[in-house]
Amino acid sequence: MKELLKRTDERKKVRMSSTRRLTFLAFSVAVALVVAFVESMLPSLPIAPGAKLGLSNIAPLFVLIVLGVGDAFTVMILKCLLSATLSGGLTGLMYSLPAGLASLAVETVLMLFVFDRMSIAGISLVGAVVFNAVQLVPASLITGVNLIMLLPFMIAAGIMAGAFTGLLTYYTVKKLPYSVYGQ
Amino acid sequence: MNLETVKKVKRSKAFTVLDGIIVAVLVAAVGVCAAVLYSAPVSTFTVTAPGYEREFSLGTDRVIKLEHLTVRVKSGKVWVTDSDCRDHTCEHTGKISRAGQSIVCLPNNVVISINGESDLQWEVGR
Repeated sequence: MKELLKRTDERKKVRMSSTRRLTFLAFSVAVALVVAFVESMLPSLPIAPGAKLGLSNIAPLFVLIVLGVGDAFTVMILKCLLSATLSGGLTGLMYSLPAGLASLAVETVLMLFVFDRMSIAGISLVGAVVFNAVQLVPASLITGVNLIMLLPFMIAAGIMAGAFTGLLTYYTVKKLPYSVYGQ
Repeated sequence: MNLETVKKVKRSKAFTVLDGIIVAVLVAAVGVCAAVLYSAPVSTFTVTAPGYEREFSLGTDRVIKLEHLTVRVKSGKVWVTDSDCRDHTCEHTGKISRAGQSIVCLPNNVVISINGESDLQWEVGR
């Protein structure tokens, strides 16, 4: 009897965690989409037209910490696909998908090997710089203009935006109670 | 659910020393990128004398000794310091630094001119 109880308990735990995982994934993608949509409606900064904070990039990083690599890539791909669909521009997808995948790949590597020596904010910062830099490649190909001249601005913007979104992610993970993570 | 990582993140600091180093490296990269991408191309000037023609960079300071006169380059400016001719017009021309400007020494047949498209709208002559 005791054995049986234990087993059902375990099964319950597994099912709970998989439901939790699915909820986390859906929730993260949904939040990322809404944030990206609201952000796209805000007027861009006069000093740097087109520069965004990229608040929606919190979602993949959050999932990378809380769930894992595979799920983080799922969120990133879904976020890029769906936000491109929402904003109705396929060009947006050609900018954001390669940049998003590259930055998440870098963030994953940093997370696996140097996390703790490097903070979440630092990892996010490097990711944002990679995101901005990689974006220039499809942008140059599409517009037919060599946009390498924008590189210093893109790196500088990435440092600031990445540090900010990284800190937000860090405090989100830190302040959420363990009950949210299923313990 | 990756509770181990969550625990590690909860225990971690907001910023670390390595972050600072990486930010410093990236800021340096911004500086280098900007310097390389936005530096104006260094202009050149040509010295022509009988049987002599050479191009020099305005960016490096130097003294060029010719048969009849001496040309000096310093901080982007060119001028003739001494000439053994009669009128010394070349010395009186003063320092030139902009594309299209030139110094001419007629008695010695020497022309020093800064290469490139002239960016001057007009000039006041003597």
